[in-house]
Amino acid sequence: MIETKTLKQIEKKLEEDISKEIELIKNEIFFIIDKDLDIYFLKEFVKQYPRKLLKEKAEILLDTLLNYLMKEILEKIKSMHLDHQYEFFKENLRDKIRVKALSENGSFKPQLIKIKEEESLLDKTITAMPGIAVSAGGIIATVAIPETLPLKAIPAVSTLVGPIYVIKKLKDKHKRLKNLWKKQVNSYLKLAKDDLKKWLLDVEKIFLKDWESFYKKVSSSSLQSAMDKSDINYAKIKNI
Amino acid sequence: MFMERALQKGNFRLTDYKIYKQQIFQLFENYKSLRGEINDGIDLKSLETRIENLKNNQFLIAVAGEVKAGKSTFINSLIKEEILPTDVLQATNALIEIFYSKRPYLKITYASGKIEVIEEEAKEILKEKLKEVASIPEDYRDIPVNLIDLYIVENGELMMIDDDFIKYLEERSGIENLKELKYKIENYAFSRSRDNIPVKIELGYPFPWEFDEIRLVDMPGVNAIGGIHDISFSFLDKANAILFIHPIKPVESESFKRFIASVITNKSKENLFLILTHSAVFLEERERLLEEAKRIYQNLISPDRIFAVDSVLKLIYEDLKKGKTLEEIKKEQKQKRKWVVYFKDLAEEEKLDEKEVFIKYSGFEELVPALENFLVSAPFLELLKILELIKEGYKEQIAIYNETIRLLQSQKKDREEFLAEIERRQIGLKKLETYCYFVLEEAATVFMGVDSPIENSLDQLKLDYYDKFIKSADIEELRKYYRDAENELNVVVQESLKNISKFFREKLEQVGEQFKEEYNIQIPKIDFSAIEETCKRAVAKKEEIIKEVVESIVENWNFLKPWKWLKSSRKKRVVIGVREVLDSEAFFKTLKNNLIETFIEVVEELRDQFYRAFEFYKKSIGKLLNEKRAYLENLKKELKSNEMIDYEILMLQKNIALIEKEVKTIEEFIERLLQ
Repeated sequence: MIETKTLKQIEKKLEEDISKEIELIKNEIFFIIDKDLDIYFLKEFVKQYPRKLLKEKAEILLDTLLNYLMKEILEKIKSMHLDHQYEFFKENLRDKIRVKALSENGSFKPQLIKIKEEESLLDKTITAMPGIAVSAGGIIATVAIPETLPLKAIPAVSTLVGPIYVIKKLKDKHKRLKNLWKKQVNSYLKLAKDDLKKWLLDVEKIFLKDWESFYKKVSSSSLQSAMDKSDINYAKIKNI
Repeated sequence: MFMERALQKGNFRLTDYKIYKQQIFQLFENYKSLRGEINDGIDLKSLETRIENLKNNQFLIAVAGEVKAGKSTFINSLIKEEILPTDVLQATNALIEIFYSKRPYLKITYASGKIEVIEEEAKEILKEKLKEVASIPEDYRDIPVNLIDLYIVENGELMMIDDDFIKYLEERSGIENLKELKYKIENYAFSRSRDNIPVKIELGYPFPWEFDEIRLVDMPGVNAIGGIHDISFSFLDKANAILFIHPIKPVESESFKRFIASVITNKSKENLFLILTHSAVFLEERERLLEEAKRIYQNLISPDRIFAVDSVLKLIYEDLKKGKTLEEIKKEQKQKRKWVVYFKDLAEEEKLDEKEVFIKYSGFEELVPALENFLVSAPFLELLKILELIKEGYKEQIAIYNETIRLLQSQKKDREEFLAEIERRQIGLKKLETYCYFVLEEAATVFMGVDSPIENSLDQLKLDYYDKFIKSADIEELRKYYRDAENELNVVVQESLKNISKFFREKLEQVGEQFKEEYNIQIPKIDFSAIEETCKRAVAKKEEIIKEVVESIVENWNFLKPWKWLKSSRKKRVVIGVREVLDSEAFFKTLKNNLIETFIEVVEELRDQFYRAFEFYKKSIGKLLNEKRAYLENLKKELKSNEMIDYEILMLQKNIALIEKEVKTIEEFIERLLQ
């Protein structure tokens, strides 16, 4: 059995690892969003990749959890009779749990990220604040553009407001859109973090249950008293 | 240990290598027959693959440089045969591979897939054909013929030449006022089709050169219009050595710097040589210029990889060796005339004979041994590694035979004791298995999870390369970074695999003696190098970036249709060949995006492969332990008569004697190699 205190420590460490990995995903996604890349590409990237990277990291975190749990268990195994040690390893607990956790039913399935597509921001319409003075071809005009002026209408008004204005506004829109996506990714990852934690704690439960049943089986065995700690220098193994 | 010594030795010769290789093939055959069915821990299949690789091994030398730098003359002087046309401008798209063949032949593959082969013809005929297919006709030197060819290769025949197309040629080639040469462009373009544009030229010839395992590739000029093409990149990446040819004066070369900065990968830089040609023209300044080059390029290339040569002097030397007199050489070729006169005098002055003076001042006496040593050092080490593996296998065989002899003897002496001994060994084996499980578990904590070295390296590598992809200024640079990224990824994974091997080997070695003393059992030999090799092969992923570049027009076409930017839509076939939409900037952007996507997938795939490789190690260890267990079980079951035991012991001793003799031969061989 693993003591409650030890389990709490494992869970604490695991939580730190989850936060670290989520932070890495966030950094990677934001790193790309911040670059001057095509907005359509970025939209697709933000839609697809947080989920993809989460799945990847989930597997790595699963291995990390199993590392923590196995380390505790090995300490106990070392004091057992050779036959029990042998039996335990034949059980192949790590692989068994891993397969179960990554199976269709047990695996971590991150939600789809719902990002605000805002087609209007991408290519259909352009919004503008009224009353901005813009220069175009020597003409200075003060215009009020309706909030949702279709893009098709831009050529018509561009003689008045000038192409520089349009480009500048489009750039601003992209910036706003990127910030919006960042916010959405952030909240998506926050939720995903909780889901991930829940999934890993479920895996931990299954692991502990399996270990418990093995431990009970061994405890009731007659071999328990006849300890053969064997002559393998475990300290040496551990220290390398 | 001996391998490190071999590395320091550094005077490998190709001729020696060839002889040693043949001897190793024989030693391997002996090993196979002596080993029989016994499992000595050496992965026979993997060793066989390594032997096969040695048999088929070829050294690829890529010769690059600017147009007119003297590449063809250099190659001719290296292979001792004046077969490449030297007085012509080479066509960019035709890359020439030259290799040794007993019968001369020229194979030309055209863009349409058509193949033309010329066999058993005289040198002059082959040379003439080469001139015809691989050089730019005199009349068309002022138009970008390579770009036109490339366009036809990608899009099919040109039906008309309009202003847009001429503008496209001007933009890509940097040549102005092509409109005035429209008639020339038309004449050229209408005469070209995929059927007469060569994409690959292979020349096999019985060169009097002893390096018959070398394949030389004459690369297109780096400054040629149209630039370096995909096919060239694949050769550069594979090349064992890259020789960059540049005239000795002016020593400073922008094209060389650019070649290093944005054409070849960081990995290929290790294989780079700078060859400064035409050194006889500046004979007085030769040493000074060479030193200057070493100083200028000291941060780009090691000084011992820079050589000053004169290919014409080397060709004269070869003529003399073939029995020609200086008078004959003088008459035959104008190009050599002045050098014959000058160096004849110099020979008298320096009291050298005719041949000596030409080879001395050609600079090839320094270049060739250095090149040979460089090319052969890695395969030489491979020979030594194979010898070492065979030796290890033999040692394991002797240990297994001795163990069996001991068991058989104890069976003969006292059957009860024999059974007790087997049981003792079985317990020992169980302990060993348990120990191995502990080791495997420990390995998992080291090599898997968030703190594993592979995870840390991959995360950092990804961000570094995203940045490089995004910041790259042109396609060449972007492509170089991608190839660099691939190489670096492979290094990360392969280093991790190497560390796993090291980890297991050390752990098992540590416990080996203990088990041998206590339980009289030999720890099974595990061929980690074979496991490592298998995993490396499984993990190495080569993403063909070439494809994306070839599809340039498709990509650009996509750019004009924003909905095509969605990956799912892009998979559909789109119309190819609308020239007006060629927008290199947009294409470049698309390529960048695609690379980021591809890179993420490659990293993910590699990580996956790595974990599978780790599983493979686990299985390999488990398999050997199972075999050992089965072996003990069988011994227990098969109790033999004393006569049978005596006979078996005799046969085993005979085998041991044969193996020991072979081990001695191998040890002597290794000594000889290292002398």
